[in-house]
Amino acid sequence: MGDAVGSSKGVVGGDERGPTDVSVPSGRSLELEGDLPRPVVSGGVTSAHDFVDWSCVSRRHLLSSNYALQDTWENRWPSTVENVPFGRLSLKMIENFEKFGKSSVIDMEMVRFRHSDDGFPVRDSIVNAIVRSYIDLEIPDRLVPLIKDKLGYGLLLDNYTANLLMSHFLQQDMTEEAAMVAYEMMLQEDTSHAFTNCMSLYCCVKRLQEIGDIQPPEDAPIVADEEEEWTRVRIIHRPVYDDHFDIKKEHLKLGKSLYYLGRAGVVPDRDSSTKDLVSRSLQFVGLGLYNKFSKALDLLETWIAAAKTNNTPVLCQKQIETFKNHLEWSPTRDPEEEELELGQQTQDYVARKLYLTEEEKAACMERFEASKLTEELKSFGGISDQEIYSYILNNVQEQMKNLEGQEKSSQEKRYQDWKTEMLNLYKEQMKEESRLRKQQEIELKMAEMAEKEELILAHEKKREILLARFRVPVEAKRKEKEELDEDELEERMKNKRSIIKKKK
Amino acid sequence: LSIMKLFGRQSFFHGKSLMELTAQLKNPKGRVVTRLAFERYPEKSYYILSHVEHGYHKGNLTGYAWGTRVFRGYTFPGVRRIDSGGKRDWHLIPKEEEEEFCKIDKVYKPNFTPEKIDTQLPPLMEIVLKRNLKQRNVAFEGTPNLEGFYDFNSKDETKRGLYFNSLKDSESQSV
Repeated sequence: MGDAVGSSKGVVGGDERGPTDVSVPSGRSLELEGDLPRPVVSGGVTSAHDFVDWSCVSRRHLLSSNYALQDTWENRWPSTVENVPFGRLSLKMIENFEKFGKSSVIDMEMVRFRHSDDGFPVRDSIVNAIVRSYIDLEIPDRLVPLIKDKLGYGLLLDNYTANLLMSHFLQQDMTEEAAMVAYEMMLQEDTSHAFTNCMSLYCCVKRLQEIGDIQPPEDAPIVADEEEEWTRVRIIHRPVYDDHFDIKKEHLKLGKSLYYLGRAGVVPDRDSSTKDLVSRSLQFVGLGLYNKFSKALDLLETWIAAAKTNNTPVLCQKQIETFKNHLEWSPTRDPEEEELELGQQTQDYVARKLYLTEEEKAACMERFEASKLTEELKSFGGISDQEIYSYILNNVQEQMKNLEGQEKSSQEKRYQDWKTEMLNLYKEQMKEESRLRKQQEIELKMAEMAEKEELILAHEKKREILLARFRVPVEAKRKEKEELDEDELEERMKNKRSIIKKKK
Repeated sequence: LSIMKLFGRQSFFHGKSLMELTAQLKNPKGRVVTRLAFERYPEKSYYILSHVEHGYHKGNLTGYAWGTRVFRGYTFPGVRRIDSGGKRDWHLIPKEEEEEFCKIDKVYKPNFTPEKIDTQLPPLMEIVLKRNLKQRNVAFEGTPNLEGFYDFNSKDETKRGLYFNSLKDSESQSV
């Protein structure tokens, strides 16, 4: 099983790369048609006649290298954001990134971009470019927390970029990160794209093989013995845990995505029994990991009822074991615990309300034991001993090979579309800039001309100018109140009285 | 580490704001969204989103969402803007449960007839009007009324929820 998986690794993701590859290891082959020519970094003219306009644009960016990076992320030049480079420009951008040294700058710039006027809607081309550049810079693990934080960064991956990322991670044996991407795609609840389904199934099953039989870590207890810091807030918003976007634990996410993919029926059928077997077992295991035991047992009972008539296998042994393990390991809550004040509640606290109580857990265990009915099931072959995981992985790889060609061609079209879009936007923006510049020049000229006119006609309008001076409204000067001491006050009063006496 | 304790008014709402929900969705079209406040009605009420516009204003996510409205079983025609998206009361319904949730069993019919409309004028205004009419020697039968000032078409279903009884009972509809 290990060998089969290892040998196919190179083929899985190797052909997914786009037109420009910074590093092409010898083992892989670029099967793309219409490969774009290699860029010349010095800024010379390339021989590709299709890209005459493009080379002008690229030359401009090549000359003003730092400027380009600043432009792409700042508000003042909103539509050059659209010129986020792909193809040959991506190289230059990468060099800029490397100049900056740290890639944390990029994260900050992304947040600024998001808060700018242009932040919404985030185009697929931008996301594609970001992901691409991260991969080329060989720091994709930084991407994963950014993708998770959708509110802050908004990197909602479309199908092609997700496939790219997942294949990249799988090549480098980073199953954890690959599975994270798969979870994100699952959270969108969109199973229309067959290729992403296959990829995510692959990642999830691989992750299952690693994690499925390990007890998940225990929760940190809510400690009330530490210092309390009171802050006044106008309204205390309740912490909300929707069971979808707010899931933090990995085994829950894994379970949910497995359940979801099992329902979608990614593995096609040679014989429908294996297809059903696979989907059912995936669903069962998924629900077990996701800690929805009652739901799983409901489904089980329906399946058993259906399978009894047909004498077909219902589940595989391995899945039942993992389910049982997770049933035993699932954390419980105390129903008689006092509820914390609203001000002290956190999201984790609210999430724990979804745990089973001990009674419910015991009830589930009983039901599981009762419904398993191993003897009865085994009598009609209800439990099979197939090794599902390898079967799934191989099957999925075959599918992916078939679908690759379609993916590539459709993606190329999209690249062309994005390129034309960007060119148009760029031209428009240049036009507007030139227009603004001309407007400013004209205004300057008008001002100069007005001055000259004044000077020329001053002789004729001498009288008017002189009159105008007297017609200027005089600002009334306000006398500042002097702050006098008592002695000075007395002196003044004395002087006044003396003057008055004199007058008299 | 010290624990943060907040004190202040408690919020009425249990949920998230619409912008928070939809910012995490790539394709919000066709998703069903409800408010927990709608649970006080026995009939089903929700929104089916059509499109969302986001923006940032001083660090806060803002924007509007548009969708078709189903309120107490009745689907309003056309796509409307959702103005109460800022209230942190919204829940997204997963696609599995969409079908079940969207089945409309009962429809609320506002039993509102023209006779129930209160056509009284405000009391002070009535007195003043009567006095004026007397002074001007204008003949007037009965008391001044609001009859004839507006058209109540009970069959125009787009105007549901616009006519209120001044003496609101528990049966009267609140939007």
